[in-house]
Amino acid sequence: VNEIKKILVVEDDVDINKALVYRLRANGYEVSTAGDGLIGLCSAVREQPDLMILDIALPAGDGFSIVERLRANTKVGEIPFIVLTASRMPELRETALKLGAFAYIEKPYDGAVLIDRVRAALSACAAA
Amino acid sequence: MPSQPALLDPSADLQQTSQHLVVFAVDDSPDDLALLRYHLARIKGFTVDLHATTLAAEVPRLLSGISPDIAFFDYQLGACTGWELFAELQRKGVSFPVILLADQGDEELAAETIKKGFADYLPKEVIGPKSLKRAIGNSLESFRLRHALIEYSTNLEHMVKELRSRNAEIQSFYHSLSHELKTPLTAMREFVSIVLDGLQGPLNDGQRDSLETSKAACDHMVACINDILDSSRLDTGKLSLQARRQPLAPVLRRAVAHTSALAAERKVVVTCGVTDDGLSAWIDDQRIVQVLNNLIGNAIKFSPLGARVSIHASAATEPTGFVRVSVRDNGCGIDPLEHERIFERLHQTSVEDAAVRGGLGLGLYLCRELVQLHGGSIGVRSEVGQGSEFIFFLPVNKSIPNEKVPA
Repeated sequence: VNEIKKILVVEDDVDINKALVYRLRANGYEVSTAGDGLIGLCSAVREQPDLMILDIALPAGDGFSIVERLRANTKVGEIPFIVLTASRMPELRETALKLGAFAYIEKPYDGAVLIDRVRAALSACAAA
Repeated sequence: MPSQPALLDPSADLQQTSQHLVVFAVDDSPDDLALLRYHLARIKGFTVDLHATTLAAEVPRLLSGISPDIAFFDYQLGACTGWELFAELQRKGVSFPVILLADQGDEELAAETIKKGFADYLPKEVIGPKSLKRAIGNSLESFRLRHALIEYSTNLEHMVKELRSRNAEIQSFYHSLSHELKTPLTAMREFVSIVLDGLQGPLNDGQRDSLETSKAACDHMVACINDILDSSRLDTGKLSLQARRQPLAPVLRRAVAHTSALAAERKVVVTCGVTDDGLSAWIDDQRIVQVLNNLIGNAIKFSPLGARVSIHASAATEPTGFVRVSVRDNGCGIDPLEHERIFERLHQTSVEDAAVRGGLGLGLYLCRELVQLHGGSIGVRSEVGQGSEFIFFLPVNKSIPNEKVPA
């Protein structure tokens, strides 16, 4: 039985947030959202999603700090994540991949590419 | 800044007008001071107001009441030397030239004196109105020049500092600008895509066409924002490559795919040929896709409807160690006089051109800079009406600075 996968979106821009929710739900995922780093961290701990989509520049703790703080919390297992950012700095991509991001997607993103990466991340996870 | 010292006017003699000069002198010998006063009074062309003392200890007090145009220090002052007195005044900031007077000529002493910052050196045996006039004239002029130089370099330093901080400000502004513009653009583009992808119901051809156009416009705007950001990062040397040795064919194919919508719109056929599928180079693939996007985009824009654009990559025959990539069109061509200038920042081939074809004038500049960052080079072969071929070379292995790059 194919269980419905849960995705947590942490994105401070409400419009992009709305677009992500729309796109992901249309593709059959259960989606919850957070508008800043702190709420993002709490939601991740509480909901234990199958995948996170993280913006980097966020109020109350950036996307990377969510990953780092989750790792420090032994009760929560490893949650795969995709970084979605408007930044064009190669250093940021490097940091994201070093931190274990499944994918690094620049904004504006292409919906098809995003869904493709989401699917790949979830199936890689299921296989592991 | 100290006030400008009075200048000796070389034509004062002819004009018979006299220039006023405040002179300060220290000499432990009252006779030598009297002699100096005598000669100073006989210099043609200016009147002298001499303030003098035989005691070095008196100097600070005397100087607090006057601002001399020039000073004479005897070398032997009894309690100290003229050098020591000068050094002490220098610590407080001397704002006038000082000439050292010595009992007899001594080349070594003269050289050391000038090194210490004195304006001139004069042996007492040669003192006379003429030698004094020449020494004063030279000293005032060199003092004025030195101060002008210090002022210029101080101003320059301030300016460089100012520009650096301005540059950092602009850099950070571009960064915020790019972020602020991209955020709403992301939402715009994605909502258009959501409708376009049929997630909100089926579309008719007209609606589809309208939304495709809207999405392409978003993409164009993103490309502009990225070009501006990249160009500002090049300015500050902050644009770095994430390069590795990798096959070239997929990079070329990605660039062709990126420009396919524009090609379809202009009914231009883009072909892509790689002599050897294993052909690889030391590149940042994203940056080379960006270079190719620019070149292919230009080729399409400047070609007539239904034209052909061909991309070709091969191992360079001369010199070895490079791959040669070319983008060729049979469009309007480029005047050979423009071949160098088209790679300059903000260059547009003509005003009319800028208005008709659009663009920020950053595309080819970024191509050149990005290729050069790889240790490669770029050029163009073209004649008006004969189409253009842009050729660039990329190193096969991590480039070593100063390595010979094909022109």
